[in-house]
Amino acid sequence: MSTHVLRGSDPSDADELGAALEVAFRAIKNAIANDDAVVVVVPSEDLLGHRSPVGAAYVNALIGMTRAVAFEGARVGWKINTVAVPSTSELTDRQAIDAVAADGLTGQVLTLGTALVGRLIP
Amino acid sequence: MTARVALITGGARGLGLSIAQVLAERGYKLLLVDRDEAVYATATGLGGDSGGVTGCVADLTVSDDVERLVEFVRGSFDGLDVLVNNAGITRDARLGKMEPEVFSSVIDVNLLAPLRLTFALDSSFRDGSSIVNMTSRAALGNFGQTNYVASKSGLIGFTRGLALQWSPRTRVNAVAPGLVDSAMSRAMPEDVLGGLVAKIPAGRIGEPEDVARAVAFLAGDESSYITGQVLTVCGGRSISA
Repeated sequence: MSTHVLRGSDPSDADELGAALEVAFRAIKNAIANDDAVVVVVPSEDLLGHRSPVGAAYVNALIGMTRAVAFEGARVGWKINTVAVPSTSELTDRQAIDAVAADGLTGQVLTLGTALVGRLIP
Repeated sequence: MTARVALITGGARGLGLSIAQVLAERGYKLLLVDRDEAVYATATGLGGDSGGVTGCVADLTVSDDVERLVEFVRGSFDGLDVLVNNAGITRDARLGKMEPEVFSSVIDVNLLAPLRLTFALDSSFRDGSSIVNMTSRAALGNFGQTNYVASKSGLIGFTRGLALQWSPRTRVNAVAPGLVDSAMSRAMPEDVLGGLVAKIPAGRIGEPEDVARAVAFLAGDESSYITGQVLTVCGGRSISA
């Protein structure tokens, strides 16, 4: 199983948000159809809306997709997770893949960094 | 004392109607918005001759309709105290069979329309106003609902981001219902519905009024120190095995 890394965009309004979510949906659907594992990489600031409401809507919608796809494919071995990292981090794709490499880990949101310690995590 | 004004989308029937009934009982002046012209009869039935309930037909995925609605609000009320973003749809399919336009159609109605309407109404909100976004327990994940789950999870993100941006003028919260008695639940095969209800710790299906009372709580001053939160109304299903 190879791994597809999806790095989100940064929509600034509803039109861009809709377009970005459809792009992400197509990418995830194609990756799953190819039996790839999926790692979605998002800015951790957007988990709780620390940058903008639209950014938070986007990132949380991606998390929703992660959970829905994991829910649907849990029994047949689909593997999809989200890694949330500070936007200032220069995390490589390899590091993102390694962060969620554990067997059986799917549908999860792994938050790297310390900025959200003590905060409610989606 | 001036009545508080509440706008409820998807207000013609179902959960929107239940929310309207509870808010009307608590003295709110209501504007019910729906794509269905049945909203006029609903408004008349709810408000009688009092003039306290107004119906408005609008498709909130159409920008002209949103503009017209915003103008109507500005022309009819001194300001807005409560917005309930309730309108929503489902178009379920397994991931492999879900076409991109089906995905996006649900995103349009459930996520983008609330964003556009809320931002368009920005200048109408009074100090101390409250927005309640209707999301779903399904935002935690559900079979065959990649589009719906994404839209409702996205709406939770929007709730949090807007709560930070619009504080302290406007509080923004979300209600996440679980399984609720509705036309959709009543259409399920009896054994399927029974199996779902058996997983609910409360031992029963939710009633629309259970959800409507949660909305009323977040809409009103009793929750004046609560913003950016999600109130899950599911009889404990979201924590059960």
